[in-house]
Amino acid sequence: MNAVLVAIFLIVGIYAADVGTQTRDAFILAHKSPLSLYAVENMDLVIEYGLYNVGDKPATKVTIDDRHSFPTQSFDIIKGLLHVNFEKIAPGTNVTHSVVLRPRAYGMFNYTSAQVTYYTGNDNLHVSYSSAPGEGYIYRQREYDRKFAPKYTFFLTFLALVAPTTIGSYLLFQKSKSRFDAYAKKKN
Amino acid sequence: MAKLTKEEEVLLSSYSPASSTKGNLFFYVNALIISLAPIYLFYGVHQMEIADSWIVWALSSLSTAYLLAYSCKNQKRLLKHQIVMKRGPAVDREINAKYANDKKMSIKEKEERALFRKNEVADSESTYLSIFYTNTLFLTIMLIFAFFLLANVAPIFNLLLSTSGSAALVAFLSTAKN
Repeated sequence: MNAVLVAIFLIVGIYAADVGTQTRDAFILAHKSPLSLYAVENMDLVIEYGLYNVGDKPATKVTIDDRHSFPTQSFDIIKGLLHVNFEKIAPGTNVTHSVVLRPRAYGMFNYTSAQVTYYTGNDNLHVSYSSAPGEGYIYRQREYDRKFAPKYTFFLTFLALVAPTTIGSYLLFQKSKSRFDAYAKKKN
Repeated sequence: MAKLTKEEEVLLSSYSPASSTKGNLFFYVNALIISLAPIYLFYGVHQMEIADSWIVWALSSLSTAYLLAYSCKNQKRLLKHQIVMKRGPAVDREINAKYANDKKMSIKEKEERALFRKNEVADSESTYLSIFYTNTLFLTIMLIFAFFLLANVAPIFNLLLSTSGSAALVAFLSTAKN
């Protein structure tokens, strides 16, 4: 019985030692998230991709392909590429990549994940996906303005509209009043 | 009933609620401007669309304009009486000073002219003052309603309540007897 237990402990111990010391292949964790707080039609929207190699070997020929997430009929690409290559990502390092887009239409939009491909240390092609930001609302420009644009120009115009008759009539009244007050004070 | 003399007619007109055509035109133009201005504010600040809300706008501006013109007229009637009393001595002096060297003019004629002048002065002064008073009252109430009390209510109800509602309130206040 004891001999069996000792044998089991030995096997487990050897296996654990092996896991602790063995080198792991390159493994990339990818995230995709919008940096802009609000997505608004016809206004810049910044999307950031982050890659982190958690493996012990470098990942080579890393590509991010997100062309399918942002079809050109719905988005203009202002700056950056939706399909990028990185020659090598060293173990324990990260890479970020960002793209500036401009939504063409408003409404709900489903942000899907980007595809990431890379070769692990032993030249195996790995295909994985980044996290997906999920559904988000793209604001209408008007709704956005309503929330955030300053409104004082409208109030100034409003004042300019109502001022002529309101202040004008007061001034005319004052003019007439002061004229007759002068007569009232004058001694005949 | 015997035909009224010119003097009596003037005297009567100075106490009549009816105002001159010029004054009335001024009231209507003013009321139209003052009722349209808030709509611009609702268009800009509360983001109402022309295509969606022109019916509500027309409804609001017409009712507001009517109520404002009505309250201006009422206000004028109240003010005119006070102003006739207030300006009386001053107008008398003005007429006396003006015709001091005119020996031909009789005292009666001078009085007649003074009466006519009093009515004229009171008419214009009360027109100006009633417009100023009605406008400031309406605009203050309207702005408080539209941007403080009802700021978070749907724009259509906000518009109707704050414009037509405050115009109705101003009209109601103008119906006071004294």
